[in-house]
Amino acid sequence: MSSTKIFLKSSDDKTFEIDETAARASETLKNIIDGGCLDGVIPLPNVSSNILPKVIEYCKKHGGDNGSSKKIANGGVDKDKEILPDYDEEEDKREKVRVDELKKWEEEYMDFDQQVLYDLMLAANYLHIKGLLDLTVEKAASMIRGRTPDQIRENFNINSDFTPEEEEEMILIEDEWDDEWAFD
Amino acid sequence: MKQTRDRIGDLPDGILHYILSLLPMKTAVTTGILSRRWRDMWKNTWVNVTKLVFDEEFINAQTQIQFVEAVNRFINLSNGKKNGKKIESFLISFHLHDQHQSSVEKWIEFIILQGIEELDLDFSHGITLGELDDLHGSFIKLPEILFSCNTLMHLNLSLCEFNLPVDFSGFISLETLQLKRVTITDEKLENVIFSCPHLKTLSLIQCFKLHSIRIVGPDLQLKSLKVVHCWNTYEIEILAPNLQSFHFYGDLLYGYSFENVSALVDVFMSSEGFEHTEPEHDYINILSSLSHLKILTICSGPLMYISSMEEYNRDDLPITFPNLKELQLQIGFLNMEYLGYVFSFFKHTLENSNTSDASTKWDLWKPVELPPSCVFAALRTIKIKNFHGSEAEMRLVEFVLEKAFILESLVLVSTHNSYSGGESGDMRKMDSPVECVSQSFQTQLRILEDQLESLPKASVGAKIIILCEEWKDESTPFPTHTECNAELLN
Repeated sequence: MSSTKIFLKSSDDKTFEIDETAARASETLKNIIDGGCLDGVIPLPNVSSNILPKVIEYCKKHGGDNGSSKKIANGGVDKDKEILPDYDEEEDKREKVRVDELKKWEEEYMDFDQQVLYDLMLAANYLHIKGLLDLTVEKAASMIRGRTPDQIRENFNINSDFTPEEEEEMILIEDEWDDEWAFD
Repeated sequence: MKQTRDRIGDLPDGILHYILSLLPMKTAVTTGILSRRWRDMWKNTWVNVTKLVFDEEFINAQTQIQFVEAVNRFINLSNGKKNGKKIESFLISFHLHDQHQSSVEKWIEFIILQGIEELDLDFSHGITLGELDDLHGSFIKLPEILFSCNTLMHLNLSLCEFNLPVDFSGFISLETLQLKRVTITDEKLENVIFSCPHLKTLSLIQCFKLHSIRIVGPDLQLKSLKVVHCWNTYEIEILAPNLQSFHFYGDLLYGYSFENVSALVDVFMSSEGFEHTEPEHDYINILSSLSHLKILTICSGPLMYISSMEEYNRDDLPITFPNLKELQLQIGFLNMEYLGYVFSFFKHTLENSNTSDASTKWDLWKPVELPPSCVFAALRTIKIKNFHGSEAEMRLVEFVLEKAFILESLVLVSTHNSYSGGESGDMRKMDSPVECVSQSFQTQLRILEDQLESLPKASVGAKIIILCEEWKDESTPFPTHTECNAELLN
């Protein structure tokens, strides 16, 4: 099945091609396409040419197969199946293979540095690509989870901009919480 | 170019809230002291959070009082600030006794107003069965207001008193109910089942006040029933036309009754560890009402019973499982005696091309004979628990491989201590990141694997899998057959 081509223009005026089915992975693009005011090229002033190919790569993988991608997004486990042994085992095996393949793909796809992570989060947010936003935000959360404030600051180049008085106040509040909270 | 910029702080609030919402509360609160940008961020995330999880991750509380105060703080923070966002799920996993009754009542009152759908109150967290007695029944009593909650879909309770108010009119949305160590009586349970029209999954675990469990109703939607270690239960009566799965684990019952269970395809009936008790009830009657099963897990009790019936020359036992796809055997230690029981079970229950073959009758004093004529017509998975590699077990494996023509997997489960010599290591656990197998153990395992691989198979593609499952949770049947099943379907 051949698909209509769509052209996307990055913030720095570079044009990229994407299949319409793939573009539909983005709510924003989908609305523009369905709105019918598609006039050759869609300008994306918030997405640079550095990151746009990466976004397109994600859409290519996830666009077009709306029915089954949903299942995969849920981890492929249907609650009902557990108690209903009368399902198609062959179908289930194929599904499992698909899920495994996708997980592997995601792992490779997500192998990038922090700067790319910010750009991808912003692009996914702007273009309303839920799956990509979920993936990137989870990566960001995993970089914070279980870390001390100092480690988080260092990891993300966050400077504490509290005045000395505020700092004191923060510590007081912390102490209050510390009655119940023992940060390790 | 390589300037260090605080780019995470530049992200829009929406994304930061999303990130914070994925963190455990403890970490989320910590972010408040990172910088000004972050100071109140977590509080705003918190008021919009729809799933509240108060567990060990949430706080390093040492005492019940510390825990309760921390939860109170959070509840106060959200109270009145909810902008139409409801709390979908609320989880407590911490041991609390009835001294904190009033706090718990306030929390429940609060979340019910938020349209709660999933409520999980595990007050027995970290309490072993042995410690249960020391609590002298000082359990949290569920407040009446809970029983008028119409939005609840999933209710999971542990260590509390379940006192139905007189005017209880049912949880109209409830689909799953799990009661663990909950004081509920037979009558109240019956009332709950009767008045929750959409209940699909019911689990009763260590509910010691249950004596006679009746799951009876021609209109019941119930699909899955699990009864685990309800030690004072002596009988179970089931009439549930939509029931698909019934799992029982615990001491032998004096009465099972199955009626109108045409949808039932998965039965797990195991009293493993209680085999010393003579089977008192008519397993033949029970099993013959379950002939449409696809998945069956049994322990040695029914097998012994069927064997003993043979002594009365009942070779025409009315038990067949023509659709059986999966069979799990839970036998404590499979020696030649038990192998005889297994074989007579096969002889009577599986597809038998020549039923008049009386010469294979099991006799304790004769060597174990194989039932020559039976074949496994539909069996795809066979799982044998407590596998040691003994002679009797190897003979069983040989037999199964020879007779099961469409077998896909033969799973041999070794448990922690099942190998002689008390090796502390696991056997090979599939997909397990933890490898703690000692050298000699591995050698032993390799020899066994080679032996198994060289056996002739009727089904060429059949996989032989050696698993090691550890019994982590005393309240679940072990090993959980369906979970293993899911694993095998990959």
